[in-house]
Amino acid sequence: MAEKLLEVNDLKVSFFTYAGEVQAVRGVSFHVNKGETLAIVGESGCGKSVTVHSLMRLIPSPPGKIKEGSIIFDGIDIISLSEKQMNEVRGSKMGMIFQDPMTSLNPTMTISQQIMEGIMRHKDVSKKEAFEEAIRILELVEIPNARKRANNYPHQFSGGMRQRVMIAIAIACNPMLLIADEPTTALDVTIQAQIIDLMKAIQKKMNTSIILITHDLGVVADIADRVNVMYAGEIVESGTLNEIFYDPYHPYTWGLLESVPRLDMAEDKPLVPIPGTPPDLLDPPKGCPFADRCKYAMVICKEQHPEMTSCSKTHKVSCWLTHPDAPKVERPLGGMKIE
Amino acid sequence: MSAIELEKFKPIGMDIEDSERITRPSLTYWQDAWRRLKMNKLAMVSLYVLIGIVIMAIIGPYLRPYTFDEQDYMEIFSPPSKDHWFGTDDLGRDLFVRVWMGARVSLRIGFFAALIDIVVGMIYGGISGYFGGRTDDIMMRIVDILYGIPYMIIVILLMILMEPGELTLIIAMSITGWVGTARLVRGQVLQLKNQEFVLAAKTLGASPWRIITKHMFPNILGIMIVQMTMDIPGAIFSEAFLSYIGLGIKLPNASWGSLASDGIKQVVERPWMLIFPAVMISLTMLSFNILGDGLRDALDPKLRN
Amino acid sequence: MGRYIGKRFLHSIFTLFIIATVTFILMNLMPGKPFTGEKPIPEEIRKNMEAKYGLDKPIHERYVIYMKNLLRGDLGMSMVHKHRSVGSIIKERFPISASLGLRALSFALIAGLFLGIIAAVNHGKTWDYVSMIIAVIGVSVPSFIIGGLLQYFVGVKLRLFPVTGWESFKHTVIPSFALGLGTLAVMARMMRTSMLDVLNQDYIKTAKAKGLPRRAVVWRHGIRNAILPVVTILGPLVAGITTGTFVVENIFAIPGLGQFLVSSVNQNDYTLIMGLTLFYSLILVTMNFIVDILYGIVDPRITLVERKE
Ligand SMILES: Nc1ncnc2c1ncn2[C@@H]1O[C@H](COP(=O)(O)OP(=O)(O)OP(=O)(O)O)[C@@H](O)[C@H]1O
Ligand SMILES: [Mg+2]
Repeated sequence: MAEKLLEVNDLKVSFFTYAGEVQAVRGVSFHVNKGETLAIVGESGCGKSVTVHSLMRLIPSPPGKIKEGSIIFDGIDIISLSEKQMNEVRGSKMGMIFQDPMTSLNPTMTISQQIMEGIMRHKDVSKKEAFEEAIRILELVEIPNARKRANNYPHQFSGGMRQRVMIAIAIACNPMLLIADEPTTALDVTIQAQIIDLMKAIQKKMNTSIILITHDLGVVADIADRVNVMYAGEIVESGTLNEIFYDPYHPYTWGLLESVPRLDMAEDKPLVPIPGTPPDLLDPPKGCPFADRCKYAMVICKEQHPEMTSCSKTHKVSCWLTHPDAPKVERPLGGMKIE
Repeated sequence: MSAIELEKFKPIGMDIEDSERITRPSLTYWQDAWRRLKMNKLAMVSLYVLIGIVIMAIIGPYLRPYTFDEQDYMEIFSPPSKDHWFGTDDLGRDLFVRVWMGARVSLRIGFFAALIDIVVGMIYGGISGYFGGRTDDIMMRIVDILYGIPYMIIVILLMILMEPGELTLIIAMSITGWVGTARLVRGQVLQLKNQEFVLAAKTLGASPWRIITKHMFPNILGIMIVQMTMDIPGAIFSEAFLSYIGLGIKLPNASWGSLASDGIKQVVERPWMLIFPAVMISLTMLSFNILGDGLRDALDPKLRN
Repeated sequence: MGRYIGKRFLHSIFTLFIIATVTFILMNLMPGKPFTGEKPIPEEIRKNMEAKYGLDKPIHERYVIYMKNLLRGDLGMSMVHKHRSVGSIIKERFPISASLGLRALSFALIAGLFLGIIAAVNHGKTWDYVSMIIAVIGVSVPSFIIGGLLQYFVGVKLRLFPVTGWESFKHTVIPSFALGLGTLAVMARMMRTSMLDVLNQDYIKTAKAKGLPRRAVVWRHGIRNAILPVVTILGPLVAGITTGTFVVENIFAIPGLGQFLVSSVNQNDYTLIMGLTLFYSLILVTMNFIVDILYGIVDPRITLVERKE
């Protein structure tokens, strides 16, 4: 049995704006095991970033606030930590990679300074040792000529190289958990693959757990062990990679799988976007949030929120179609029926 | 779970309209901006203060039975009283009437100087940004040089050269004032130039003039309104400054600046002569600045959510 | 970097050249010729002067002579202050103006940056409002009005400071404050906006994710980047302070150079006006040059971009 590194329970995060309370994350629960990769997928604005930022308590406050729930990481209750204690965790036990490598590095500091900063914060080392360590990590993330380039500024690096530097910053103190929020979205396709390979290599070497947010199901297939599908601030389905890709239960997951290109799909199969738009998080519907856009919606879907149901030990879904009284529907992918 | 009635499981299918309707009712850009501005109390108060000042500039001089240049040697330097609400000056002229006559002059100068700045800046910046390349290089080099020249000194030189008066003040202030606007507009145009709707219009064969006026200026308008609310107090400020060093409006006419500079010379014995015009200048500048800030926030699409 | 400095230097020289030329043209457009002003100068002296400045020659030759004189630093003779060269007036009076200007500038910079940072770091809280109220008042009240009011209330009513003159440190307090307040306000607003902008940048999140304490995030990552756009407006700010000295010196009867400009304007002392114009332009162009270089040092991206051109 795999050991749990992170366990999130019923997490609720809101932003209090002048227009009202934006319920960005509405009660999500999931866990991450040691050494595994969890992918989080879902449409833009569904709360993926807010969820993972909450794990490191990086939600801007005000207006943001973690309203409810617990985050247990490596036995520590993250939410109850003081800001000072939290700073001991950030960067040393958890590292984070952001989407845009062009804007995520400080333009007025050299690469090595930016890596050394985290090392010197968390380890008791001299400046010189920290520099050597920074070089070692730059070599680890495969920056050619690391020693020479360490004193360059970010603008002297290409996008892919900068993302490697970002990874270097994130892993500088051997974190147990590496959170990557769309690490490849801003990069060229060929570079994307390199970055994913690099992350895999690092995971193997350091046995890190990874939470990866991406819109690219190809990347998910490449690296993830398990997948969370998020919609309108909730997790609507979660399971192993195979369960989500080959045995999905939630109509939203079906739509998602149909709307993005996948390598394992027949070439002539047309891509079908999901019609409609996600609900307003200022005033989320009381029933299933996907009901309005769901081909299979029933009367109940609009009235009552479906509960999380287990389909297997690892597979959970929140959909009324799994109710025994619900009509059997044809699944568009694979043509299997829901029992 | 099994307590749910069977008919609740009747399929109803998707309801895209419904899902579209849920999203916020779409307001036009200007409606949205106005709504945001109205929520900014301070900016609204400033707006009302400015409207009040403009109204007073129009009717103020008629509220008292004096004219702005009517001298009364029996009433020299009298402090504010029932007869002379703001007191009188060295020639016994009523300061209440003079302050509101001065308001007309100051506001006119501010408004027209700002307007010229905006118009010239928009045309210059628009052309420079739109055509780009060599044209842009040369035009921006010129702007750079003008920008490096101390603006107030040029104004002083021009004021000495030309006949003193309102028009001269406006011209002198506009002669370098447009430079900042031109830079701003150029930056915006460069950004807009490559956006799809402009590219589309270009492909359809629209003339540059049409693209600039029909497609670009409406998009820059918001920024220009903000710029204008910042330029007007700037011009009023400069006018006051020039009046102080003796290059402003000529007597017996008055502007807030000339009234304040007369007042400074008397500040120790007759503080009212400074205080009323000073309060008017400061209140107007304050209101314009706050309103400008409010407008900027209200018009900033980045903050729109 | 060397190339960048060189380029900026040429740019400054060119600007100065333009200003000198424009000034020359304006001088020749002036009603009345130099040396034939309202108060006529003795015939002999006038002839001498005209010969020295080549006023008897055609305009293009005069232009050459004028430029040569400028290169030698000769700005001519004052028309009102007999037997005094513009150069000697500058030499005598400028140090006082410079001292006033520098005092005002350093007060404005330090207090302005401080206020701006405090406001941004406490965004939306009391300190933000307090510093922004100070800033808005500062930009809204012209320096001569502040000067006049301070003179009346602090000087005359409260008798805390002397109201006129330039003798001891005490004399410098109110004028420096009156002169610096506007600049302080611009500085504070600019710094606040810039700092808020920077604090929203992704790299600030990166820094936070490293576990750096808030103080380090604000100081090491925030301020250096936030100060960049502020550096660019230093040129115009110095220009503002310089023009401000014209009136502040006048109000407080400070025997500086600015006072001369005001009086020369009122007395139609054209040579003095021209000379002072050029002198002030030189100061401001030099200042802009220094700011450009400063900017190149603070922002590592600048010099590289220039090189690519
Ligand atoms: N600072 C904020 N203030 C107000 N609302 C916010 C803020 N940050 C996020 N939100 C809201 O929270 C919701 C979730 O945002 P989030 O950034 O987590 O989406 P996401 O799933 O990461 O999308 P993307 O794929 O585009 O990155 C959005 O509806 C967004 O409007
Ligand atoms: Mg995101």
